[in-house]
Amino acid sequence: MGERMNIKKFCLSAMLLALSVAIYTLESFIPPIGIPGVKPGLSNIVTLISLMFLGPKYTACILFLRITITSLISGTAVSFVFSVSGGVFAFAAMSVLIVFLNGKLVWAVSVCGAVFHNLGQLIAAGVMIENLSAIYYLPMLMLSAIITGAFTGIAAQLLDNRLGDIIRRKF
Amino acid sequence: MIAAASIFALMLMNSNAGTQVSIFYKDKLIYTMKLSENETKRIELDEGYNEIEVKNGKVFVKSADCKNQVCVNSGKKSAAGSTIICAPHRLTVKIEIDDSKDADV
Repeated sequence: MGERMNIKKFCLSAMLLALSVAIYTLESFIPPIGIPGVKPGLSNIVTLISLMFLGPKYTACILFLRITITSLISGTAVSFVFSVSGGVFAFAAMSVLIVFLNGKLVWAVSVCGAVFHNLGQLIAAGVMIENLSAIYYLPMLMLSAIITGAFTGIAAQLLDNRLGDIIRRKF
Repeated sequence: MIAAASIFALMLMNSNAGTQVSIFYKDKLIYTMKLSENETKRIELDEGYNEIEVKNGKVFVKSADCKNQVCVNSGKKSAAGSTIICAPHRLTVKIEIDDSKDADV
């Protein structure tokens, strides 16, 4: 029985991975809005969903594979470093907070994840250019993280309200 | 709380115009331009090139051969403290207030 459950979870995580790669690639077609690094972060919806339904272990795998695959498709070595540092920070913050809040207040978890994602990227930028001037972008990145984080969090919450019971029963 | 602090910092930042453009490679100053004079400078680095232009009191990166083009998309800047970063080339373009001129204002 335990093994069968694992296969189901395995399939669900493969589906979520495919979905997040597709969302990320679609999102890269949205033209930049003049503030570097500011993106809707729609694939964070998938990360949140998998944190809610599959737990941190599966989510870490999905996130890392998503970053690797999308970097191979459309990225560079530099964008890979940025994605990984942002991803690690966001994942750490969200996986702790989602346990702490007992699966409630998903939008708050998401906002926190987005804030830490941008912090991670800023630290990566600072390390890369070897000076501190990246801090200029901090206020803008924090504001945009709150807005996009709330948006992706509410999207994940809506999905949970509609599909959560079905998915939890099946997996 | 973070939102309030960010908005406050943003308001503080865009308050006064800068006078000088400093271009850094890593933490070394490699070139300076005046915001009052139109000028185009092509910076050649081992990592690639950035073409930086000052026009009508605003500075922007006209073109670069990096792949993500974040610096080019950063737009035109004129406020003191504004920064354009090209992470792949380790290049920072920073607007500053020239201290020597500031003293007698």
